[in-house]
Amino acid sequence: MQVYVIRRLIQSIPTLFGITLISFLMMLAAPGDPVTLITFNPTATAEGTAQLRRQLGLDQPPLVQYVYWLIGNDWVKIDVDGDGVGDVYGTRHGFLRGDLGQSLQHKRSVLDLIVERVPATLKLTLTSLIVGYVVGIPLGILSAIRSRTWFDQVTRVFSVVGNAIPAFWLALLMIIVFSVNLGWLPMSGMRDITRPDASGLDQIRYMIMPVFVLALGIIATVSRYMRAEVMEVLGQDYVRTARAKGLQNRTIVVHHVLRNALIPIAALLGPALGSLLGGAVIIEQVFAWPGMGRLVVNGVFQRDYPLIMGSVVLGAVLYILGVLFSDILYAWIDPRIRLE
Amino acid sequence: MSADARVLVLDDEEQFHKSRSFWMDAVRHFRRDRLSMLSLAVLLLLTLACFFGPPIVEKVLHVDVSRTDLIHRNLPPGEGGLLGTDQLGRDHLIRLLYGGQVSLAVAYLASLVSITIGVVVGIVTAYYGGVVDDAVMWFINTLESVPTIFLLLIAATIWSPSAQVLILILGALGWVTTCRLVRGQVLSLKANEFMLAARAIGARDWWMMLSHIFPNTISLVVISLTINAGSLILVESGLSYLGLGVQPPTPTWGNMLTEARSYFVQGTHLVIWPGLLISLTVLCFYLVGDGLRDALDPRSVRGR
Repeated sequence: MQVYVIRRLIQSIPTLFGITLISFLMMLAAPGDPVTLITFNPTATAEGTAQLRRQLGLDQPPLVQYVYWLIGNDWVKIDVDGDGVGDVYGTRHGFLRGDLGQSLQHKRSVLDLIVERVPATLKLTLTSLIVGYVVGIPLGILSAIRSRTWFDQVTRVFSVVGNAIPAFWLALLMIIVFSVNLGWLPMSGMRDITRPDASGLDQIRYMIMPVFVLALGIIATVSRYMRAEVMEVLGQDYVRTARAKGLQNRTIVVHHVLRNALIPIAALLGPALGSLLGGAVIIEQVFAWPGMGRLVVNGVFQRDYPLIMGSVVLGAVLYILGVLFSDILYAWIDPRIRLE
Repeated sequence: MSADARVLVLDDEEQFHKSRSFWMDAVRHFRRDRLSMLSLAVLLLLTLACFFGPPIVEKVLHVDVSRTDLIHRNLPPGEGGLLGTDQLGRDHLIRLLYGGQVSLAVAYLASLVSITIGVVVGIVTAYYGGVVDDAVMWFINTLESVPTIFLLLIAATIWSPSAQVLILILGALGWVTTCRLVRGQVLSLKANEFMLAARAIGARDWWMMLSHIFPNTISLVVISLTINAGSLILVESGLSYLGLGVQPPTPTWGNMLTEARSYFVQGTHLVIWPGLLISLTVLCFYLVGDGLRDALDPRSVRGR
């Protein structure tokens, strides 16, 4: 088991390296000069911008820029005044030491900005994930056990339709019905900013619609997957043996079917955990939810490259960790995997 | 039963089997699948309506896609044209049709692009294996671990998209899943004896790939093509919603929704129709894909 975990950890290093490379190349290919974005000042002199460019390391060749981004530049002297002699040490620590650079738009550390926004996003996505699995798994199981009944039919139709409806459209419709017409639920935001004393219960009202919309897609996928798994296990010989022994249906389902059918769900969990940060970008936009998604979308419109790159890399790291976690979980509950 | 009769029956049966190739069998199966046939019909109808409908509608209803009429804004269906008018007084029906042209074309073509890349890369890397395969798998793993929406956001900012660019972007980012599937298929095909036989009679690499491997991946390709087209419509509409898709005034179902969200109190119908069409199209693509999978996968139980 330890060997397996270590092997998987080592395997993820090249992937991580690739992600930094891809996002760096994309940023390099992006149009627009960061210096003009920072200064945005008609009175800026050519000399001043050139100095700023040297300070930011933008005069260096791409490979050097990449190395600086990766491991920082506090070990080299920067030639600020352009006379070919290094003047002061750099201030960046680099990605590998937890420094994602400065946001051009906010003039603050990218990591701080992201860390501020993560709780709001997690509140939304984690809740949806839990709701999705808690509803989706039983739905799929029941649908398989009662296959070809009306319940099964309804569940299957629901799971296809649930995947086909654009989530943001459903969100818009819900806003029209529940916020505009009925006035039951708040239209957007995370809490009532005019009432600092609002209780937790009050905040839940803000979560109902976004969580419902996000969970719907998860329920659709999970229930469909679960149904297929249970159907497959129900056809296995050991289930027939259990029936032949005269075991009760309930015992067969709980002890023989579910144990085996739930294993592959672990594989589904990895990507789901990995997309916790990026999974709600559009829905956050619809409900004006102050999370990661809005931060990134605004960054994109402002061409705030360090911010975008930092979010991409962090999102990818989370994805790798999620997949790693689910692989290890998988290997832990299913010994056949780690013996391969 | 006499001996003669039995021979006759056997003959018949043989005839029966001979006359049904794999593909004919699949078509037969698909045609019996009423839900899939219905979805296919709806898709065809929608496509035809969007690509050939506009001139007819313009003639019959005397509307024009770009004519604005600020006095008759946000009229509900019935009062202003068949499906009402939008926030600039443009006819909603004709814009939906033109929007469908762009949305469907993006979906079909982007799906085609991504499948082509996926199949070619999948076949070539899996066939040769070795370092090439390792490198491509590393690239795929990397691409897969970045949340797709982030990649799309960046790509959409770098190359602010027209429909053509959007097709390329979506195609270039969507081939990974297909490539994985094809690669798996090819790896299992490589172990077959007919490959060895072909090699023994002196087949070259390109001939092996083109005539022995590729035909065996076609069912996979057809299924992926359909499912992909469905999800691409969703992706396109999502990107448009964020304001990063095809830019107005060119209508797509996605950016029509974006425009409509600011006016949903005055014109609820503007929100309902594009979304309904997106959902219907995606649903049909998924159902056709499911039907194809049932029909083309020999392992699935026929006639269920």
